Parts: sequence; C-alpha cells; structure tokens
Amino acid sequence: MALDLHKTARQVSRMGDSLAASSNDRRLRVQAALHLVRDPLQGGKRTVAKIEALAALGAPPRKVGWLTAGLPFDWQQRGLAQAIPAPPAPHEYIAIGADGSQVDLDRHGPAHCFVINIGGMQVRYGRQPAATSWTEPHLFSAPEEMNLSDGDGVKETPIDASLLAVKRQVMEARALADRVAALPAGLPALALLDGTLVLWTLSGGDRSEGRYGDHVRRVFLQDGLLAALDSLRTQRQTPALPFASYISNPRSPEVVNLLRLIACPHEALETSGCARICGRGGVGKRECDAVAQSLMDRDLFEGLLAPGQRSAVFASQSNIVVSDYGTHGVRFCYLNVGDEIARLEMPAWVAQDAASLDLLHALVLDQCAKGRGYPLVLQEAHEQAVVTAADRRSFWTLVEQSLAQRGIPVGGSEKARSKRVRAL
Amino acid sequence: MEVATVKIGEIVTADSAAFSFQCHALGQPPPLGSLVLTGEADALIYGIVHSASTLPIDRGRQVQALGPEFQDEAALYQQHPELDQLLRTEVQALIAGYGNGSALRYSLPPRPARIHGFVLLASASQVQQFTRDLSFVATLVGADVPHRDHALAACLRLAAAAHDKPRDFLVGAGREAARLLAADAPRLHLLLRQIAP
Repeated sequence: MALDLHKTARQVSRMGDSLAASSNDRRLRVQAALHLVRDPLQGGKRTVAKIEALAALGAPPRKVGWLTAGLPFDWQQRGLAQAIPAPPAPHEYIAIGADGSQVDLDRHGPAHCFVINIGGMQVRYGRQPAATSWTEPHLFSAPEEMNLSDGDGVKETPIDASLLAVKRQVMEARALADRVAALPAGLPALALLDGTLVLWTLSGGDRSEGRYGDHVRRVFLQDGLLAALDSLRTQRQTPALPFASYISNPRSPEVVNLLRLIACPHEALETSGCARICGRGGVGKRECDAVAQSLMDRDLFEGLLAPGQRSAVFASQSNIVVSDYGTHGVRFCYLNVGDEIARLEMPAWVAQDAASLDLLHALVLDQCAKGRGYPLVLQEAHEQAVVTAADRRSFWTLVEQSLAQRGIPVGGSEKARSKRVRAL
Repeated sequence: MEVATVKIGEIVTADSAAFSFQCHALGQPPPLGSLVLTGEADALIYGIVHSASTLPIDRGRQVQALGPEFQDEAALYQQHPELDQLLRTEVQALIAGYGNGSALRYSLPPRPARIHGFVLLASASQVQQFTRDLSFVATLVGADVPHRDHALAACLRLAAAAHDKPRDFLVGAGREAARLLAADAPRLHLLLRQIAP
C-alpha cells in the first residue's frame, strides 16, 4: 500500500472545513490591511518621520520579529499603494530566459555525483522573428567539485542538497549573462530568471556562526551570483538591461510585515522590540495580527492592482542582501499579470533606472500574454532544462554501465537495490 | 541520370519495411505519394510517403490554440517564433524497393535504413526509372497502413508526370491495380476514380 486515499480524503475534508471557517476573519484582515496600505499615516495619527523610524526597525540588525520590506524611495510622494499601468511594449525586442534542473546527489546511487542541466530560450520579436533554444548538462564528480575548500585547505564543506540548489541558481544566472553578452546591440532586450535572487541558504543569522562559512559565500555569492549580476549590468547602460527574476504564486509577506510595524500600537517598539512586548509575559497582544495574520503580500496586491498594473518598488531587507549584495541590493515589486499576482525581483540598478523599469514592466507583461499567464521564455527555458524521472533513471543506468565497463565495482546501497527489485 | 541532391529530412525510426523521418522544414513535408531516398549511392532505399504529421517535439505537450487576437496566420507565427523550436513535422514512408540505380529490386532491403540517415526527394528521372516497373503498386496495395489507396493514387499521379506518356503510364498502373484488386471491386473502383487521367 502507498498513500491511503480513503483516510487522506477525510483529512482533506476537515482541512476544507477549517479553511472555510477562517475565510471570513481573513477577509476582514485583508480589508484592514488594504485600508492601512492606502493610508499609512492613518489619517494624521502617524507622521512621515515616525513611519520611517518604524520601517527602519526592520533593517538588520532587526529589532522586530519579522522580515519586512524597505519603504519605496518615492513613498512620501506616491504612497505605498501605487498601482502603475504598463507603458506600451516595443514591437521589436529580444527576450531571453534561463532555467535549470538537476539530477540530485543520491546517497544510495552507484556513484557520488550530480548533474545540473541548464536550459534556455531566446526569442526575437519584430521584423526578423527568430528563436533559439539551448540545453547544457554539467556533470560534477571530481573531489574538488564535491567539496568546497576554504583555500587554506583547513575547512572543507561538502556539497549538500541545499548548496546544489544554490549552485544551480548561480549557473542559471551565469548562463543568462553569457547569452546576454552575445546579443546584438541596439534592440531592447529582456532577461529573465525564475525564482528568487536572494540566496537565503547562504545566510545564517550571525555571520560568524553562519551555517556555511565565508568560503562558501565567496564561491557562490561574490564569485558566483554577484559576478553574473556584474556582467549583466555592464552589458547595457542607457537604459540598464531590464533584468528580473520572476516568481509565480509568491508567498512572501514582507510588505504585509511592514504594515505590522506601522500598525503596532506599542510606543516602546523602537526601544524594546517585538519579543519583549508581545512575547511570553509581555503586555502586548500581537495587535498587528489584525492586518497581517496569515496574509501574504499577494493578498494585498490582489486588492490594489488591476490587470497590467505593478506596485511600487520595495527593498529586500534580508540579512544576506543587506550584508553582501552591495550595489546589487534586491528590489521587488508585484505585477498583476492577469491571472495572478507575480513578484519581480531585480537588482537596485534596474529599479533605479526608470526607463529600464518601464521596459521590464511592459516586456514581462507581453511575455505573460504570449505565454498565457507566465513568461513564454521562462516556460520554454524550463521545458529545455527539465530532467524527467525517466531521464534520471537513464542517467543512473548510464553511470552503472560506464563503471561496469571499466571493471569498477558498482556502488549503491542495498536499500536502493531493494526498492528497485521490490521482491516478495 | 539526374539524381536527388536536396536533403529534406533525417530518419528517426526505421524497421525492415518502413521508415519515418523528421523534415528539416517545419510544416513542409514532401507531398503524399512522393518517392524518397535514403542510404549510400550503392545501397539506396526507396520509400513512398504515405503519411505526414506536425506535432510537438515533446510528446507530453499539447498544442493549444493561441487566441483569437491574430488577424491572420502569418501574424501568429510572427509573434510566436518559438514554434519552430517546439514542433516538428514527421513523415512516414513505406519501403518500396532498394538498389544502386542500375539494378533495382522491388523487395525489402537486407537491412533497415540507418537512423539519422538523410532523406532526399527523388528527382524526376529517378521517379521515372523506379516506376517503370509497376511492382511497387503491390507494396502499397498490400500495405497495412491507413489511407494506403490514397497514397498509391497520389504516387501514381506524381509518377505519371515524370513519364513521357503520362496517360499510358496511368493506364498501365490501372491494369496492375485491377489485377491485384480483382477480388475487391469497390476498392478498385475508388482507386481508379482517383487516378483517372
């Protein structure tokens, strides 16, 4: 027997009941949050200076218990509830998307190795329409590829599943940068990645106690992602390359958490912090829950953005971005692409260039129209990169055959063998 | 003799009696009934096209209509240049014979065609030479494929154009078909109507 669907169905049904029961409370919270985001000064009860002071509490080292968005640079003039319509998209442009997939490390597999497959799609629109796709597999098995050395040969960090995912993200960005470098000048170009630009995995609270050492951050961040972003930035100057990482169905609550700070009624927040006020034994009752509990940013922007409109640009204040990203600090906005609210993450140099941001906005929408709700070049990059279950089986068979031909005893665990044989 | 030189595709499946090939030009398969060639000059395999289709390269994907906003098909393809990368045109051919040009045999070759082998469209003189002997008619009449008679009729009409006396060729081919289909008058009747000059 595998999953007992009869038993699971009863649990699913109970889950549905509980979701339905909470939906009314939730609607009220969304209304309260919308009210606050449209009028953060609360009809004059708060000052601009006060809100800036509150928002600053979300920056590291954070005084509050929430990861909060940084205020948009133009919030004093335009507010937090901006809904900006898209400028018209140019008829003639090039779009490039890159994505990756992998054959994971398999502890029970015949050999200690992994594969990262990078795929991409480049489409030119306009008078000379053309498309090219590519896919490039990379096999890693050498000891120096499986372990990251700190250079002094003292510390070695083995690649694990989390680092493998980071390595893949870095390789996607590198591949995108290389393709962009080969583009003809003159035509507007859109460059897209899938997922977040924030390498959360590499942050770990205190720098000195970080989960991964500085040498890991150097390889994947300074010499990896940030080097690729450097390359993307230098490709085009006026305007900067419209480049973003696209997140479908985003689950971030950073703007909602910013509202928590604005809604907080406790004057002591700035000096005491969340934990002492609303934590165990504190005087607070988490009043901010009324505008935030279990809400995501997209719940808010569903109420603010009409199809085609984007939000203001907020700043990511996650530790690793603030401490390590430098001039590539991550900015983000939300975009109503018609069927959903998507999140676009971009480096500061895109966000600060109005022409680039406009182009990004218009071209992402055009790509979503062509891809039926999701950027066409990302959809096709994924199709190029994807490694199916059948591909994985073929890969491991290939590895086994190759080892056997050379008389190398094929490793692999008894557990893997027992799963494959499934003898009674 | 003028020989075929234009590559039109590449073999993707092959067995003793048939092969299929992917066209180099999307949506432009050779016409139904065309004579195509594959293999080396001294060991050519002759095939007759009996079916063609255009479908997603990834069989797991479905083609969906792209919406009514386009005024004409050219505009649709203009706005979706990626389609060329995602679709392919595949053509099925029955093996009708093999040989080295001078000695033709109207039977199955000793080995199937080679995978990734190039496929060429036969020249008019190659068509004339191959269809001078009507043994290939039996191959299509007896083939276990849908639309075999339509493919045969198309093949005969194309071949007739390569002969000096097209009418005589069609009459001869009609006689061969009548001999093979003596026991199936309705089928013969339909076939003859399709090739009537």
